[in-house]
Amino acid sequence: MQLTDSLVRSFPSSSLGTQSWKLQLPDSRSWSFANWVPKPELGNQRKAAVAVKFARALVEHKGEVTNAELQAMSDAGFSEADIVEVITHVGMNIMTNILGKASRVSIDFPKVALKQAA
Amino acid sequence: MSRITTVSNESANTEQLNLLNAIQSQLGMVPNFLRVFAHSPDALQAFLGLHHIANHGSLDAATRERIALALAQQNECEYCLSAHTAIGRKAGLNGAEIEANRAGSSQDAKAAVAVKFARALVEHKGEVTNAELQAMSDAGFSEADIVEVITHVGMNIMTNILGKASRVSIDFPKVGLKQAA
Repeated sequence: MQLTDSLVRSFPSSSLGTQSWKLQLPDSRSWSFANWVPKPELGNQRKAAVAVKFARALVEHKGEVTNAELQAMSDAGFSEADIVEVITHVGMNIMTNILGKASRVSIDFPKVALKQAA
Repeated sequence: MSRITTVSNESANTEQLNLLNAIQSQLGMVPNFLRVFAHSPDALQAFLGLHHIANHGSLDAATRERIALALAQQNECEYCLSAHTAIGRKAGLNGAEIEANRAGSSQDAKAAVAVKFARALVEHKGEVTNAELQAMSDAGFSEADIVEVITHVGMNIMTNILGKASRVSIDFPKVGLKQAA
């Protein structure tokens, strides 16, 4: 965890900051966006959930997001600069995802398997 | 109509204007997609840092453009297809070669291997086969070249996504996504 935090902090600061990316999922194995009812004090997490959902939509639809998906980002308080940064993070992460898989580079972090809790 | 606005020289703050001016002096223009990036000077600088490879990498300019054309078509980004058709012509690609690139190949045997590898990276999200990696090696591409193709693919996916999410106005001669039969 400490290692992850220091990695997060090693990136240059930007208008998104680091907080919105450290999404803490509720301690529930059946968590999904569909059934998650955020508590009032989870405002930042709810905002982060919108960004995470938008990022996944960008990948799934190769950038062809709907007006409603863009509107949801705006409604959640994200600026155009934030949206551009999410797009940039998505591009950067796709690049490293591809590099990691194409190279099958040895994992030099505590290994986490892809299989998710049911 | 762009869904994410573009930053004009008039609306730019000092940091944004400095970046736009630097781009203007280097490219002779500021393409609209960079004016979308400019909303976040950090994102714009990140992209420009990545774009360094387009001017200094080991791949030749024509092959870089072949990959960009192949991905613009694969990811259906009309802005990117229009931009890289214009830039590709400057890099020496003729009409038949551009058609071949958009179809995922090339008239040049070595370049065809790189274009196919780039398309495989996108199609399989990086999960290429040993045979596909071997084909790159057999064609004479070094590990540095392979890493650069991966980097070009990442950079192009990023701009494909930005172009489509923003629906930025096309400021190059427009090229439609429909391919010759």
